[in-house]
Amino acid sequence: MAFLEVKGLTKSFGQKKVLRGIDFSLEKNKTLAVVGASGGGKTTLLRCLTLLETPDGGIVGIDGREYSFDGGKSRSVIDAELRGKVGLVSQTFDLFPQYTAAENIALPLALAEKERAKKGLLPLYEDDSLRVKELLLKMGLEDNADQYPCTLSGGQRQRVAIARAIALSPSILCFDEPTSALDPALSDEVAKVINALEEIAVVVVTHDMRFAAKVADKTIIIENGVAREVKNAQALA
Amino acid sequence: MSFAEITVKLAEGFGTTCLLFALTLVLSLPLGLLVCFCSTSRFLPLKAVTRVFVWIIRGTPLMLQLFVVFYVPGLVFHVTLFTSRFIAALVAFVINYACYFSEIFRGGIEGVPRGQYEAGRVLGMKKSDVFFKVVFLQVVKRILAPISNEVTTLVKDTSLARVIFVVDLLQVAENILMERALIWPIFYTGVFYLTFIGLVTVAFRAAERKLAYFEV
Repeated sequence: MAFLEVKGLTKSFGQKKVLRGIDFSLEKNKTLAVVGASGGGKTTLLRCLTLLETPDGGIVGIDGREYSFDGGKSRSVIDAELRGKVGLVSQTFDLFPQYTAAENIALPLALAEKERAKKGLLPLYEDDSLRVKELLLKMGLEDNADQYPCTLSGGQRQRVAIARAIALSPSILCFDEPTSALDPALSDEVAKVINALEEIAVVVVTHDMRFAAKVADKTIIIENGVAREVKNAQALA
Repeated sequence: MSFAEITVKLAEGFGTTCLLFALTLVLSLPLGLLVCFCSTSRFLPLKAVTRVFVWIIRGTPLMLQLFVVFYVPGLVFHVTLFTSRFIAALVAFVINYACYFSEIFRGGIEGVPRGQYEAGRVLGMKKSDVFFKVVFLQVVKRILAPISNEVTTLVKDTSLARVIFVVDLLQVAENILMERALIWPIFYTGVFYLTFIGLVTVAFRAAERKLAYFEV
């Protein structure tokens, strides 16, 4: 079984079948680009992986564990098990405006540690503030730690969002149109950040074929709710 | 009666006005949040009942509500619900302002981008954490101006308590008019109201400045 394995994932909104049985797999430390026309289901796939939408059916396997949406386990059980394993960097980054860059990263970490302590689990990290500093350094944001999102550039905001998403050590990190809100000149910088991510599988939804070719080890195209692997992604760019 | 004596008399009535204002504010803000949660509930009967109630309260004059709260229990059910006129006025004010505040809260909550809720959920936060640690301060910033409007109106609305004979600032001035045939204390009450509203305005400006460090 691959590190990330998706089998027969379906999702409808009313009568409209958006995902008609998506299948793909991805290994650790690899990046998958999901491309396709607008309205084809790319974002819905991402929202299903992050549980912002509940799939109607199918199986998501992550790091050897399978989560079936075909009935059986209740949504809340899957929710509790799967949440935190899949991170998301959205198109608009969605940083919390009232917190500084460092606080944006520290808040979910602190809350997760509190929950773990309640359940009698060991903390994720010995020193959370050290973890926050490490992430800021890794993202080149050490000088921006005390800045509020409104004072950061688009690129810096995105790096804070990435740091915040990986703070909880998810197995999968999803990006929704990572270059759409950025100056085209910054897309190389984003590609570098994505390529430098370790111990994680990355799923990037994008309509930017050039960007997809830069970051992806594997590319799938979603058409009419069905995924098809693209063997020669460079040709699409 | 000297100016000083009248000032002291009016100050006593002003104490009642301040107390009614402060208690209404302290009680109606949390109640307004509760009403807001009910009116946006997914449990449809609760949502419908709350919305109809809010519609009734917002659609009828506060003066009428004061009469209803004070007189209807006695007239219809033959029970004395409120022995204190002040408490009756307070109940009517709290209910009225909670309904207005609930609509302001609803607008503020619905104005927060969906991405903020979703970011919190994907980061594994509980719904209550998402609301109180992420969304709430953004809502406060968004609703500060409309709340400030309502609070300013409340200062002036307290004078309506006179209709059920609560002796507030304006009622004291009116009593002086009746007893001493002096009309200027009525106009003098304006100084008290203006000072009070001035202080409220300063407090809200300070709160707005305090929250100016972030954008929503």
